[in-house]
Order: sequence, then C-alpha cells, then structure tokens
Amino acid sequence: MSDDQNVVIKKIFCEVLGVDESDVDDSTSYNSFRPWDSLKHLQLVSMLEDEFDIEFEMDDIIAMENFGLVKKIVAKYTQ
Amino acid sequence: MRMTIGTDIVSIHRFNEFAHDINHPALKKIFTKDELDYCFSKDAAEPHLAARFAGKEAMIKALYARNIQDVWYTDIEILNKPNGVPVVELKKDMYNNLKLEISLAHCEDKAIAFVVILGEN
Repeated sequence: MSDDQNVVIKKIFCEVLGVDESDVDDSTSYNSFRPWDSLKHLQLVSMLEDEFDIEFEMDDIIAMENFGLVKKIVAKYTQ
Repeated sequence: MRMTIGTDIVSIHRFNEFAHDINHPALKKIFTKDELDYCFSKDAAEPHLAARFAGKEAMIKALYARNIQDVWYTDIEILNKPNGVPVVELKKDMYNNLKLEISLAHCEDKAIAFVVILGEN
C-alpha cells in the first residue's frame, strides 16, 4: 500500500468521523472510538468505494475493526 | 419455538446530510430501492430513513442472538402496509422459516425500533 493512498484514506476517515488526524492511529478501533459508530462506518465504506472506485465484500466491511485494518483492506482491492 | 429480540435508537439529525440526495452512495449501502422511494416520497425523508435504519440495526441484533451473521442491511427490507403498519422482510431464502415482527417510532429528534424473531433454531 502506498503512502499517498494511506494519506487519502486517513483524510476520508477523519472527514467522515469529524475528528483530527492526530486522534487517529492504526489501533483506533471501531469498538472503542466513540465517533466511529455503525452509520459512520457505512459512510466511510461508501466514501472509500467512491474514492478508489472499488466495491467491498460484506466480510471485508465487517472486518474493518480498526484503522490499520481499513488501510489493509483498501490495499487488497487497489493492488 | 425460540424468541430473540433486538432494539435500536438513532438521532434523526444523523440523516440530514443524506435527505436531499436519494442517490447518495451511503444510502444505497443501507436501503433498498423501494425503501428509498418510500422515504423520499415523504415531505421530510430524515425520520423515515432514521426509523428504518434503527429497524435494520434492531433486526441485525436479533439475528446475531441466533448466531446469524451473514445478513447485510440491504438484505433487510422494511416497508409499510397501506394502513401504515411496518413490515420487515429478510431477503434470504434460507431464513424463510423465521417469523419477523417489527415496530418503529419517532419523535422530534429520535427514531427507535423493536424487532422480535420467532423460529425453531
């Protein structure tokens, strides 16, 4: 996965969740990061699909349990 | 016969940014075409979108309680009978044996849903 791609993913992530980039690292987790709820997760998924012209499988959407995994899963589709 | 239940509540304002674009990509991840047509036929789509989203979340919780985890939001369709009573349908043939009941409500700022599933497993 490229650094440029990760920069874009983080920008989208922070825009959707309404948080500062300094608040997010690879361990930022769906279960413990209050702004990241199910509706925001679906918004995030749709914006990532739109940005990278991809369509995630349901299992991958569910597997995006932390920010590091979001980056890895996007990379799987864009490689 | 085993019963599982699910409930969810959501702030209606969370849907403000979607309520003027029926083609918003996030909406298409969550709702079926018929659901969107219904919600956007109303003067304000937000409470109807929020209630259906709460209904789908409640449904997913009730399904999880039965260890059913392969259902996506668009596999669940919540429409209304002519008399206004909501009806939920699970668009997966393998779960046709389940009996589903749903209730939706909303006030000025919140929407809430309650789901009951009855079935042998």
